Amino acid sequence: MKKKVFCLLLVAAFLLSSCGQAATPTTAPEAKPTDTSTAGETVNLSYAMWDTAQLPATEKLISAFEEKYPNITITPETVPWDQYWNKLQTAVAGGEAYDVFWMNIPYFQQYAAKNVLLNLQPLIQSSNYDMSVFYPALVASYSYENNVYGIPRDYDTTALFYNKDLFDAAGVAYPTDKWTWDDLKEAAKKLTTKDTWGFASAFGDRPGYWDFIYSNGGDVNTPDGKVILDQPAACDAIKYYYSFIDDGTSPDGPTLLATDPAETLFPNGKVAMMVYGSWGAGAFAQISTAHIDVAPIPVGKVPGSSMHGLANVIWSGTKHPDAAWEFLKFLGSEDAAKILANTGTVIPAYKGMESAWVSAIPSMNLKVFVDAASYAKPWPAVLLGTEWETKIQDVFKEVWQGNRPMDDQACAQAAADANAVLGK
Amino acid sequence: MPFLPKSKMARQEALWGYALASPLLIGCAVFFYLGMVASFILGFTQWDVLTPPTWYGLGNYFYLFKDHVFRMALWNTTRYALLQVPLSLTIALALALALNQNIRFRNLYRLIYFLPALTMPVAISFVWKWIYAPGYGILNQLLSSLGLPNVRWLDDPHVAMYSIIIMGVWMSIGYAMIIFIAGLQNIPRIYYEAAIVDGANDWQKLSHITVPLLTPTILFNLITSVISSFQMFDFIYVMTSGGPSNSTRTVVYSLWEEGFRFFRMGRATAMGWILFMIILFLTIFQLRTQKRWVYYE
Amino acid sequence: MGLLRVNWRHIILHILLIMGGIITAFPFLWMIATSLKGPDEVFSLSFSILPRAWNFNNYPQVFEILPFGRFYLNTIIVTVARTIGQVLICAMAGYAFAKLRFPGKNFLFVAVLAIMMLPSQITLIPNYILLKYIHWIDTYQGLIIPSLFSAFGTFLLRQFFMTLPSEIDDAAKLDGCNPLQTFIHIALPLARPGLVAFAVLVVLWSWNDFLWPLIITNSTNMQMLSVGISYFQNPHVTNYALIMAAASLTILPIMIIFIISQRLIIEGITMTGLKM
Repeated sequence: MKKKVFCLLLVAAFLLSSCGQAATPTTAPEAKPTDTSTAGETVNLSYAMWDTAQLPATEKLISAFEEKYPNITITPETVPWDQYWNKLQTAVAGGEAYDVFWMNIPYFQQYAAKNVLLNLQPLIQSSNYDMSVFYPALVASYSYENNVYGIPRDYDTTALFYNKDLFDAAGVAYPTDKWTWDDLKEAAKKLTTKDTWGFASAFGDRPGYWDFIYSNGGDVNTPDGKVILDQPAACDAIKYYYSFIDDGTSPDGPTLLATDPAETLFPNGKVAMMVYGSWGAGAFAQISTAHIDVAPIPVGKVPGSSMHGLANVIWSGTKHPDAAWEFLKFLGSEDAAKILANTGTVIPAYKGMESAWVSAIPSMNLKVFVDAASYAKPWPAVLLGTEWETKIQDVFKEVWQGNRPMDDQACAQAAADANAVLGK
Repeated sequence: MPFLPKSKMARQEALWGYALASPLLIGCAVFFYLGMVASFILGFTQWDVLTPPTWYGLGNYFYLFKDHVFRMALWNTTRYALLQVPLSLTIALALALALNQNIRFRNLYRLIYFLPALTMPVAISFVWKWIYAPGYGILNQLLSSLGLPNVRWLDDPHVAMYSIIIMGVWMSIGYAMIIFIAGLQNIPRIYYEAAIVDGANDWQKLSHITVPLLTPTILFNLITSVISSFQMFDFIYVMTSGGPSNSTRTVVYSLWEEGFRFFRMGRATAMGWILFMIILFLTIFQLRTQKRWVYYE
Repeated sequence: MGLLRVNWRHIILHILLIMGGIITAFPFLWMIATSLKGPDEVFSLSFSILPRAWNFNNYPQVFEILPFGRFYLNTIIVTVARTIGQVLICAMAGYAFAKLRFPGKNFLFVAVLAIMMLPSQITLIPNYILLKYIHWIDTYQGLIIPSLFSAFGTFLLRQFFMTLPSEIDDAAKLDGCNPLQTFIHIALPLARPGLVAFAVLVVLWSWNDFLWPLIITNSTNMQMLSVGISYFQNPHVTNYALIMAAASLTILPIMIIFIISQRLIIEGITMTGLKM
């Protein structure tokens, strides 16, 4: 009996301690937390990211920063993508997260709303930091209640990749920026032979059917956060995207689900065209057996593309907010953008720094991605969390698996399920 | 200490019992029971992990009793266990019997059949996705060459669970086999020698000596297989995400999704405890009925 | 006549075993084959097991990209410590549950089993908080000690100890041995098959343990192999050939341990005088 009571007390102690730690940020969301470091003392910050491929670039950034600020050292920590969010949650629950870390738009709202991120607005104002150097869409995506919580790091957009060799073999003209949906359909038909398909209607929202929704002048959601996939502008676009499968000009749904066509069918020259993101350019350029180039997504009613970008954020409970802010400012600076651009890994979010990335692969018309940034729609940041996206994907996965038809009911179901989760 | 037995011998034995078991028990208390009690309490809260939990009483449990998706997960999990456990154990037992004899390449066979247990779900799931792939997947290619129609192994709601079961059986045979082999080796050779002297044939040796003396091991494999099959997660996570049409959604997958993807850790914890109750019930049932068929020396 | 019968049975057995063996080993062979392919070839749609162009480059690359050698070291340290510790602790407890009488034994035994019945995902965060409290995050102790207490192992060894005839214990008691001595000198040697099987499994699980090491280690040079492999997965581009190479490297040592362990077990206990 005594043992049980003791155990309960211990448990209560743990719960309370974790409550205590996590509760500190909620008491003063607007006030600037006190910096516990004194001038001249070495400060060590932890910096978490999820992409091992970008570790060399990150290390370059860190050494450039450490040169300028010798009393601040940064320890990069790479967490595998699959577990990044689990680990972040666990760390926050335990009361000690990384000082600075990567954030993406789907998760941003939740973390900002729960006061896990440091509000950067007062810091921006007091140091007169110029936010206009970043694409407004990105800044808006990382703002919560009109306060900025993240400094954009990079962005990516989507476009139409195509296999020049297959086009040559079929005698079809390469895609241009004037291409319409009909042009795409026609080309796909001509490019479909016994061994190859003209197009790959890969399963996914982005890259995928959202890009076509935007290109049809439609939208995924209203500004106040209601999912409107059931509207004709959106639903017709999804139907159009799926129609290639019905035509036979795209591999069937189950095949597209089994493995990512961007990793299999497209590099192997089995598919002539597919919509994919700027992050794939490097890998596609390295394919020795095919010449890949890129064009804008064909126009439905308007030019369409989708945009996403990562940001660097500061943990609200960090013991060194000043040092972290210095680091963040540096990461958002022109110098940092130059370093990033020169590694050719991602497109920096700093306007005008894209030229290094664009010229990294001369054989590809990478300018397409940068141009798309001017009309691409950003990830729907206003919708909270990832559950609504999962619900939509569940419905359309059934369509791709061949378990239900691609019709208005599917769109309606997807919208209804998502809205139910969002409370709309 | 009022509950200790009166006699000195018995008391000494009891104290020794506690002494030998104490490292384990203390370690369990600190590193398991504390966490378990904490999680039990969390089942009565709503907790988004990022902010402190708020009391919710029986709210999570009420929700789960009414939720048809959770009921489906329970049913799928049971279906999985009902098929995977007998299949795994039967095959593993047959293998252990075969590989306990003095045949050539015995150790090589043992290694081969143990290999699936060695691989990590992450790496091997990719291979299985390939095997199950439509069109160019090996299984479907085999079917095509025999003139049979392709099967949508992972996309057909009526088939997907069986595809997962096959993977589960493939993976778990190695574990059960290695324990069965150990159990077989534990049977003293003297019994067999005496039986041969008595003129017993192979079948009689199997049914009167091997199987009865193997029952402690069978019980062990049965209980542990049931416990682990009810917690099937890895393959669902990598291969199907609970689909198609929730046909492969297991309880632990739902639990992980609710807690780690959707930030509803309170509800996830409640799910875990419901599963716990079910597994506990089944285990106690197996332990209680063991007197009827398990034969310790 | 007798000779002919034995040959046939063995031949059929071999055929079945080989067929089953091919099916069983196939995914594993594919994994190795993929690790030897160049990035172009990983997804050739035509069914070819063997690489068209043998590419051994993936293996050195694995070591170049990540401190794989360090991962190996960490995994070995943790695994050896866990194996020794678990076998000792669970053998003692298993023996106590099997052979000694003490009040509350059955309840405690079920309580120990209960540990296996709760999905570990929901105790992850509470346990993480506990370890943070005692400053064991990112340390070897944190990786080793919480994992020393295995319900599985206790249960397994208890079953094995229960098969030992009670006459032996009585004889030992008459000789003046206390339970500890009986345990060390008599029970342990007799339960060798169970101990070896358990040790192999502990090695295996420790080697492939993923979730726990992931959560409680932060710095890259404390990582274990299992987590190291997942570093090759990126959100957009996954180099499957590298993952397969990393996975193959990971499996190799356990295969060797398994082979060694099979040699350690003597066929059927033949210690005269002790087993009736």
